Amino acid sequence: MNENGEPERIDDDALLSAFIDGELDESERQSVEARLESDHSLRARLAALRDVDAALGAAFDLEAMAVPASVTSLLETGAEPESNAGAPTARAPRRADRQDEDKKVAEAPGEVVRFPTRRVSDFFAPAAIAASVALMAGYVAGSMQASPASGPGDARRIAFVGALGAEDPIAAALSAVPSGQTAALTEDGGGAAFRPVLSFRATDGSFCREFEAGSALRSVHGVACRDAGQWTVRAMISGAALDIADGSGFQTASAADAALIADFIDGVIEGDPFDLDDEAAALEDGADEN
Amino acid sequence: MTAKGGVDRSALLDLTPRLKRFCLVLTRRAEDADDLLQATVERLLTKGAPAEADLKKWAFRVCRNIWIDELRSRNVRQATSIDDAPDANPVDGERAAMARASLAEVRRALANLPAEQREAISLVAIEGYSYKEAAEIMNAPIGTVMSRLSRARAALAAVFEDAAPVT
Repeated sequence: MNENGEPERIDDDALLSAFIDGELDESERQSVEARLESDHSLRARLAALRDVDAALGAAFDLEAMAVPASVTSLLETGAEPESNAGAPTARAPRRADRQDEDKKVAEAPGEVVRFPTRRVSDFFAPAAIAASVALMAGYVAGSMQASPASGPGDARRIAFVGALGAEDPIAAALSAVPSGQTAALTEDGGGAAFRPVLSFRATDGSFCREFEAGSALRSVHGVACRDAGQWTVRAMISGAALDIADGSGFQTASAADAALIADFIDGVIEGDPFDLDDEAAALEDGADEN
Repeated sequence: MTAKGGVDRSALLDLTPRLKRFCLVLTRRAEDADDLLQATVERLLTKGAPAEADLKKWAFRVCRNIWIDELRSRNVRQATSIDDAPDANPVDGERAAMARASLAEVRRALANLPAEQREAISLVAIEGYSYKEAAEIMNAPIGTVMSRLSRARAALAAVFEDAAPVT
């Protein structure tokens, strides 16, 4: 060990580090080599730093790097990823919950359903207001018939868009529940749990919230935005009953589902998501509008 | 922005094990690494790369930027969600699952370094980028890369010295 104290040790480490990487210029290199000739502790230090590289090389052996088929298939088949014109690609899926390794196994590439990409303006088209609140609430409550034989590979992801009535329990929850907190949707909600994930301002100026809701059988993950006191679901994905909810009332969002919603948000978000204070202020503003 | 063209798929395919490795170092979790890898490849396919860009560097940059976005959005969530608390320290979770094998020790030691040091040592010592290339990927001055790298090596050397049986 170097016994000359920390400062020199740090300098020497940087020097030796650059020496290892061949990043010293000729005169620096020769000077280090000359010192190594005579300085035993410097030689020992160099060996210790080189050992680090060797250990890293062994621990991150390239041969051991498994690339998932979902990735290689993107590159091998030559197929374009489903083109969603103008929309940003998936950022790393923002997993809202715990590990979901089991579900990832189910995500063979061909089964990933792309959420249809729309521009914000499309969501204001009258045709978009199709899904009824009852349908959605039914889904959340698990009262709709389960998709037949929904094995792991049979995940059906259904997107809804539509306006929510003011009396809808989800609309009420969207107006009141802070992000990160879970509320039980009683009554019409069929006991489903509801949890806003985050809030943001959309490029069209409306206040939007990403949310999840789930019962033991169903889960949904979506984005709703408020315009003049009216909540409209702009994107929603229903997870099929892949496995049993974990007791919290939520199925863990699959990586693909989370990515689809993240895609959507990427496409419409203005700036950064709100922090809790800004969100509380925005929720209060909304209360005034009503 | 310069005009962007499609990327060479087979070159990108060859690059995926390296990208996966970088993803592992950045995320410290296998499942996150695969997600990040997928997102990186998808973004490269849909957005392409500047014509003059070296794919090997560009891909690492894209990967890194996606991860930074991801961390940013997670920070928002972690500030707001108590449910995320059990995941707040992925290293601890990994620790429990890791065997005592020395390779696992190495990964753990690396995982405990600050992100910018992990990144620097991964790019240079593992991936073999020059300081200049690493600086471009990390969008940092070369001197910064150099000092992060030497601090990372020194920190890991200290861990290994403590752990290694004295011979």
